[in-house]
This record gives sequence, structure tokens and C-alpha cells, in this order.
Amino acid sequence: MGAPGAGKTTLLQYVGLAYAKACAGEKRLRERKCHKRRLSATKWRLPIFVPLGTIAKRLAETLPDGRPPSIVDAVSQTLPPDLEGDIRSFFVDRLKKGRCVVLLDGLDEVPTDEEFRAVVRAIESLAVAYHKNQFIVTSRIAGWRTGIQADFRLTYVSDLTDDQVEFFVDTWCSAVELNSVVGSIKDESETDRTNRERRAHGRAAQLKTALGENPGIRQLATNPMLLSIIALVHHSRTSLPQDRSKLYADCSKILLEQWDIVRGLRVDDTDLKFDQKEAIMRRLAYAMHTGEIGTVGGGREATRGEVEKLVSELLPLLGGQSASASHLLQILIERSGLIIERRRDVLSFAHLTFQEYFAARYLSRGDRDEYRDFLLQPERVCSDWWRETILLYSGMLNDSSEFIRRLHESPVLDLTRMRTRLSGWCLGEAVQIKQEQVRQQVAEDLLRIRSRWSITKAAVLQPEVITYLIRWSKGEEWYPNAIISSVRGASAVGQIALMAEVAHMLENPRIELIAGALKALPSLPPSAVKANVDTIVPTLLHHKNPEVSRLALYAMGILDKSIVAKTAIKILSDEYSLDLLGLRLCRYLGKELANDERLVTLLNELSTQPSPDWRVREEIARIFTFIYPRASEAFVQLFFALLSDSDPDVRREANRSLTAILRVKPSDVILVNTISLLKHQDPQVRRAAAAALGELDREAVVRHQIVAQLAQLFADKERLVSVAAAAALQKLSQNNLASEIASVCTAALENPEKSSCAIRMLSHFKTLHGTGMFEQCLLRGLESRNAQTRREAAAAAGELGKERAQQLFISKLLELAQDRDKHVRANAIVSLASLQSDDPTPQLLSIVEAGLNDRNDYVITAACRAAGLLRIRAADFVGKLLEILRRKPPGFHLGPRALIFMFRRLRFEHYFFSSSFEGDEFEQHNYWKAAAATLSTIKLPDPELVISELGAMAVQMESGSPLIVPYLVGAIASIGSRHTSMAASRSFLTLRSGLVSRANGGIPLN
Amino acid sequence: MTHEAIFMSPMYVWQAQRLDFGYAALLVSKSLPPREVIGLFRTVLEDNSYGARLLVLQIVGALNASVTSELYPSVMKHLTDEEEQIRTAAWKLVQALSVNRGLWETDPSLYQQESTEIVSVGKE
Repeated sequence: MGAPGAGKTTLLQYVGLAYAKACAGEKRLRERKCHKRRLSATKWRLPIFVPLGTIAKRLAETLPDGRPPSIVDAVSQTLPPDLEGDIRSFFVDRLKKGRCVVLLDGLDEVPTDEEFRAVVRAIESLAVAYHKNQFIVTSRIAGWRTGIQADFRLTYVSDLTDDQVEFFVDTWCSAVELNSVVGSIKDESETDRTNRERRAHGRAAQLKTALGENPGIRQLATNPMLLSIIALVHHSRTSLPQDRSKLYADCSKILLEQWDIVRGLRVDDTDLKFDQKEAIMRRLAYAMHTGEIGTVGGGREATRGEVEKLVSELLPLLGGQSASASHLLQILIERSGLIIERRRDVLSFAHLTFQEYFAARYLSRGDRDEYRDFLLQPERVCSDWWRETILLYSGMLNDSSEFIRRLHESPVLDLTRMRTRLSGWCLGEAVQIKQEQVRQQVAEDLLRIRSRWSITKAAVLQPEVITYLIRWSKGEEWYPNAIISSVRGASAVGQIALMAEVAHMLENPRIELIAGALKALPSLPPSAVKANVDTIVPTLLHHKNPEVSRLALYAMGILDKSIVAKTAIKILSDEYSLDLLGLRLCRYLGKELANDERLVTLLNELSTQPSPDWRVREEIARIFTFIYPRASEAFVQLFFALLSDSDPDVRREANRSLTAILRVKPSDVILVNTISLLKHQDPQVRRAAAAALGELDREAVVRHQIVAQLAQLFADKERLVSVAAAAALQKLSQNNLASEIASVCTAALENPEKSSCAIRMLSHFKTLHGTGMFEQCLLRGLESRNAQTRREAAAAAGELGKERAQQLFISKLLELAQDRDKHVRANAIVSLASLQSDDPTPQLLSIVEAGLNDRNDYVITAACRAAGLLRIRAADFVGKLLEILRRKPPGFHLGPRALIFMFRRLRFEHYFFSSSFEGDEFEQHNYWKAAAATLSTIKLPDPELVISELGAMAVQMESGSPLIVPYLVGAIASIGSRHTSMAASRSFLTLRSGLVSRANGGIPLN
Repeated sequence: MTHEAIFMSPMYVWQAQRLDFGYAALLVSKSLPPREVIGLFRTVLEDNSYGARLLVLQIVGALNASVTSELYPSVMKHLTDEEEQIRTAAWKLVQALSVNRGLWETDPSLYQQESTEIVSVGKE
């Protein structure tokens, strides 16, 4: 597949030629493995080149014996009558032996849908009947339509890369120069040859520069046909036009007229001027494109007789003799290269693009309104055959606004929004749009479709965005987005009407339409969905396109549960194994799964066989949550095996399910199984089991002595297990189990391995504090050699409370504030501050200050917290804090959060205005963000003053650092709302006049 | 490895599409001073390999708003990038930024509608 002019036919012809030459015995190609090297083919075959456009009509007819013709029939009909019989049997023989490569060219050139279906059917049956052969089909991307359903692999003809463009330009220029050599190349003198090469080189360099200077044309140059046109235009004009239709215009002018003049060969004796010749071309192209001559409904070919008749009718109007039509036609064929004789007495344009271009020219020159309406007919707007012509037409108008407006404003609601899409493409043709609002209107609509209707309004869209949207609209993603935004944009009544359309689209053979409709289903009202698509969606589950079946599965989620259950039973019993699709459907059933007798039995039966597929295991882990009350013994064992599965995703899902199950009333079987996991060899499993047990209720905990079992894990050699056990116990302690847990933990303190966890646990039980035993343990913890224990003890010491904190603790904590572990340091500083918050000693102040200078951010944050707790408001101390605020950029994880916390505690308001803050925008940003957040939450002694200061600051900031203004305005609003302040209203009025008078750079000042 | 190496060296950028690498790069960018990040990212977006551009576009949205805002014009240029993935990444960013800047308005009723959607089991 490829765009127009990407070189599909050329590539196919190249392949055909190579095979043909090899069959004819060319030595170079007959070298060993040459076919493999050059074409990655397994062997040389007989090439059969079939232009599909020419046999389409024959394929649509029926043979005298009533059966539809095959491609072989149609091809042999095009051959001269005397050859027909022998040749047919020759081809059939070769095809049967599998020695051919069938090259089917131009699927897109089959104009009508009826013929298209006939052609596709013929190709499919040929590929089945002679499957040993190779088949290659080419098509424009736009003309692929439903595509061929047989087992074809899609490949695309790539665009030319930069290097290839340069190579092409070099080769093209030297070929042109070579072509202009008079006489034989062998006779060329040395000087002539160097001059010729220099000329070619110069030309090529000029063209490359021109391409580099003109980005619009540079984009076109990735297409081989357009590149050769560009080279041709540049060769004769030495300058390049800006857009595609101008390029075609220049090219046709060169081909019709200048080519002869440049070469100095005056062979044209028709006495017709360029305009007259072009008029003939236009009329001819229009007649062929509409099907006035040639194929009905429009096609690429017409017989010489038809063309001659048309030209002879036209010539008198142009001031010529109708008799010279035949002669003129011959000259056009021989000289211009625009029209070629494909077969004997059958004429066509050399390239479909030229036919489209001249047809568009014809339409744009004729009666404006009539032709515009002609093109705007729904059957043309939505047809692939007319697309290029419409695009070229809109590029030719002096002002396309009206055309695009009419195209875009469609009276009927079109589900896939093809008119909006086409309007967008027309915009992309570099057309003249005098009414700017039309461009904005179309662009806004594209934006809405791209955002699936989540964007309602746009200010003027920027050119980059428009270019992007147009480019995006050319992709397949268009369909789902268009359908979804149509549905979302419609009214409630309209949505129900659209539902029928969507359901209809699900039966369309085009993959992208089915996918789009499936994606749109969730956006439709549920009642409408159920009524229409119940039967279609389940059939799509087994669609051969994986994307469609995936989407169908998701769409099943919105259907009625009974249908989901029925489908799941059907799939599981058909496969009679744990099928992924069936299991996923089971998951959609949720809790209702356990109520479905047949499904439960089926799943229990199937659960005896473990699956090698991790996705299946993952699904089993998920659905176990729903089915466990009725699961068989084997199923329970299967599930518990998944907790230690080799795949992490499966394990994660199993953990989740286990937690969910233990949260509601679990059966004893499951509980016993879970408890046994606490001794599992894998620490991950132990942790998961411990965490899940934290969800249990009191009754189950007491019955199975869970607390003691969890406390055992405190000594686990993996920290993650012990922490999980502690967390689980903490959760259980809210469950009327506090005293029991406390006694277990106290016992655990005796064991040095368990002490860090035990300290953490015990600090939660305030009743124990002051019993003496806890303090003793704590002291031991503070002196521990284990950093973990020291850390926990340092944190727990802060919880003791001022009256119980003995001097011994304080001095220990002071020591730990210089510990080598950063967490110990941080915890010690915070604990000290909370114990001495009323009356800080000078020693403590110096420790907090040292903390602010610490090399570790964690400690700095802790020091900030400590400063907040101590309410240190000494000027030099505050200066130090401001210094930190300056140093740390926003987004850094210390961030303003810790500082805002501290500022709130310190009641900081005066410092914000008194210390003049110098810094670049980011520092200012950070500073004022913190200031505004602080000021809007603390209680202020004089809100009026603060508000007016903030207001003045906002106006002052607005010119220099506009990003800060919203923070300041937010702070004013917040203070004002709490104090019902006159100053706030006054400030806002001043601000409004101050800010609105200037364009404020798009900052939303709501 | 210095932070320039992450974004500039061709040895590392091929990894850009790996999730963990992107996360590491994000952390590094967050720890740098904003002006340095802006300068670095501009350079990367102007002329650098596919992987590096994509990496920057993917992580830039997670940075501080003021940094992202500064890069808005550079991001806009990538809407017409030759690579599909880069165009899409740039689009997502431009969409988010434009809504933040008040250039586009989102439809608030849409979110209400989405929250009542019944396909909680079906994710797309």
C-alpha cells in the first residue's frame, strides 16, 4: 500500500521485470541465490502482471454458464482472440504447479463498490485455488476499503528518506543531462563529458538548496512521483511553487508545451496554444472521471474512439478543425506523456493524479455554484474516488471558505464525521481562506474530535496545532474518536437514534469502523446499548482481528450479566479448559459468579489442571475473590499455589484477592491455609500473608491465635516481613485487641531481634507509658547497636510526653542527634523539639541550627519541623530558613511543603514583607508560593494591612513575574473571605484595573 | 553518569522508552535547578535523537508548572515532528498545557458523565 505516486506500480513492474528477465535467462540474475539477495524470494517464478482496473468490469459480469468469472478468465479475455485458448491452458498449468507470481496492480482503481466486491472475491478465490503461488496486490491507502480478507500481509511503500531524495536528485539531473547529449555517448569528448557532469552537479545542488529553503515542498518530496515533478518543474523554471496544485499546474504546463521548446524541437504542428490544449485535457479528464466516457461510474480508461469523438466535438469551440482530432490526439500521446496508450486503442492518463488534477481544474473553471453542488453531493463527498479531486479543487479556488463551510456544515448527522475530516484535509491543502472564522470553526471541530469532546471551547488555535490536527485526522485513530465525539456531542434523544447507527456499524466489514463503534459503546446510554447490540458483541469476541476481539471483550462489560454468563459458559465448555476469554468474562460477572450454578461447577471441574499461561493464572487469582465460598478443595489449592507463583503479576493479583477475601468472612479452610503461609520459605509470601491477616475481625483472630503468630514474625530476618507483621498488628489493635497485642509486644521487647518492631508497636499504646518497663526498654533501644532499633527508639522517645521525659532520655537524644545514621539524627531532633517545646535549651537551639546545615535533606526537613515546634522566631534564625527557601528550587522534594508547615507554626507574616526578598523568578516563585499559602491559613492580627500589601505586591509582580500573581491573588481571596474585609474588595478593584488594562499573558485570574 | 549524559549521550537515549529509565531521568531533572533543566531540555528538543526527544516530552509534563510553561514553544514545534510517537507525546503535553493556560476549556459535565459510566470493569 502507499499514497498516490509512492511508486507502487513502478515497484510492481520492477518486480515483474526482474522475474521476467530471469525467466528469459539473463545471466546476472541467474547467479546463485540472486533471487534471495535481491527480492528475498525462494525461487524465480513466472510473473503475471494484472492491472485490476482494466478487468474489474469483466469480473463483475457473469459468464454464459452462470458462474462468476475468475481472474484467469478475465485476463484471457483481454488477449487477442487467436491466442486465447493456448494461453489460457498455459497459465492454468503454471498456476497449478505453483510457479507463478501474480502481480495485481491498483485495487483502488476499481471505481464502483459492486466491481470492488467482484474483484476482491476473484482475488480471494484465486489465492485459495492456486495457493502455491505468490500474490502481490497494490492499492492506495485510501482505496483499500474493506481490504482483502484472505491471508495477506500488509506492507507499505516507505516515503523517501533524506538520503534517497538526494540520491534521486543527483541521478535525475545527470540522466537529464545525459539525455540531451547529441549523438552517441561513446563519441563524446572528454571536455564535453566534464562539462556535462559539472552542469548536472550544479543543477542538483541548486535543486537541493531550493528544497531546503522551501519546507512545504520539501515535505512533498518524500513522494517519488511528486519529487520527479518537482525536479521537472525546477529544471525548466529554476524556482519552485509553494503547494501541490500549483506544482501540478506547472508540471502540466511543462509537459503540454515547454518540453518541446526547451529542447528546441518544434514538432508540434497543431497550432494550439497551451490554454487550448489544457482545455482539451480538462474536458477529457472530467469525462473519464465521471464515467461520461469509458467505464460507467468513472474509471481510468477510455477507447480511442470515445476520446476522439469528445475531442472533435470540443475543437470547433476552441477555434480548431474537428477533423484534426485524431492527429492532435496522436501528438498529445507522443509528445506530452500525459496521455498514454495502455493497450491497443485504449487510452488513459499516465497517472491517476493527472486525471484528478485536470478534472478538478475543469470543475474549478466552470460554473461555480453548479459544480460546487455537484461535488458536495453525499455520494461524492464520501467516496474515495473523488477525494483527491475535491482536495485539489478546494486548493484551486480563490477563496475556499464558502466551499469548506458548506462541506463542513452538513445537515445530516454523520456518525464518523467524514465531512469534518474532509474539511480538515482541504484546509491542509494550503488553500486561500478569506473568512478566518471558517478555518477556526473547522479546526475547533477537529480539536473536539481529537479530544473526544472533552474540550468545549478554544481561544484562537495556533497554526502548529491546526497542522497537527489535520495530520492526525488522516490516521485510523479518526474513526473511534469521531464516533465517540458524535455520541457525546448529541442530545439524549439523539444518542438513542445514534445507537442504531453504531449497532449497524458493528456489522460493517471495515475493521476500523467496528473498533470505533466498540470503543464508543460505553459513551452511549446503557438502556439503548442493551436493546441493540446484545447479539452482535458476543460474536465479535472471536473476531480474527485481535484488536477487535480485545475491544469486544471490554464492551461485554456493559452488557447484561445474563448474556455475559451465557457466553462464558459457552466458551469454557466448548474449549473444556481454563480459557482466558472465558475467565475474563467470569470476572465481569463479579459477585454474581457464585450464584451461577453451571459456571461454578464448570470452573471447579476445570481447576484441576494448572495453566502454563501467566495471563490465565492471573485471571484465576482475580476470579477467586468471587467464587471462594463455593470453590472446591482443588480450586483452593490452585489459588494458594498462585501466591508463590513465578510470575510477579500473578502473585500481586493473588495477594490482592487474599486480602479482599480475609476482609469479609473467610472460611476456616482459607484461614488455616493463610496461617500456614506465615512459615513459607519465600519472604514475599510471608509478607503477603501477614498483611492479609491484618484484615481479620476479632473473633477469627482470637480463635486462631493470630496475634502470637504475627509477633513471631518480629524476629524474621527479612525486614519487610517484620514491618508487615507490625503493620498488621497495628491494624488489629483498633479491633478491641489492644491489651492482648500490648502484652505480646512487651514480651517481644526482651528479645533483641524483635525489639525494634516492638518499640514501634508499643509507642502506639499510651497506657503503657510510665509503667517503667517501657522506659527501660526504650533506653536500651536508644543505646542499641542496631541503627534500626535506634531509629525507632528515637522516634518513640518523642511520644513519651514532657512530664515523663527524664534528663537521661534528653541527654541520650542529644547524643543521637549526631548519630551517623540520617534517620536516627532526624528522629532525634524532632523528638527533642517536641519534648522541650516550651523551654528550649541553648544546646537544643544549636542542634536545630546544625540540622538546618546538615548535608542530608531528610535531616533538614526534620530540623524545619523542629524549628516549627519550637516556634523559634529569632531574626537570624528566620534568615537562615529564608536562605533554605532560596537555595532549594521548586519541585525539589524538600519543597515548600515542609517550609509552609513551619511558617504556619511560627506566625510568620511580618517577615514576608519586612525582609526584602531578592532572587530570580524561580526563587521568588517558591518564596511567594510559601508566603501565600502561609498567610491564607494563619490567623492574622491585622488582615487589612496584609491584604493591601499583597495587592501592591501583585500589581508590582505582574509585569516582571506574572506566574506569581495567581498565588498572591489567591491569598487575598482567602484572607478576604475570612475577614469580610473592605481592604480586600478595594484591593481587588485596584488589581482589576491594574491587571486587566494590560494583556496578562494568558494567566487565568479566576 | 552526569545528567547531560542521560539526555545527550546516544549510548543512553535508546533506553528512553523503558519505564524505569524514564523515572530515573525524571528524578534527575527534578533535582536540577530549573534554569539548567530548561536550557538542557531546549537543546534536546531542538536537535537530538528520537529517543531523547521522546524521553523529554514524556517527563516534561511531570515537572514543575513553571518549567513546563517555559518549554511550551519548543513543545509546540514537535506537533509537526516526523515521528508519530513524538507528535502524539507533544500533543498530550500541549493539550494539558493549553487547558492550564486557559487557551482551551474542558467540559466539566464530561467528567460527571464519565464517573457514572458503568464500564468500571472495562478499561481501554
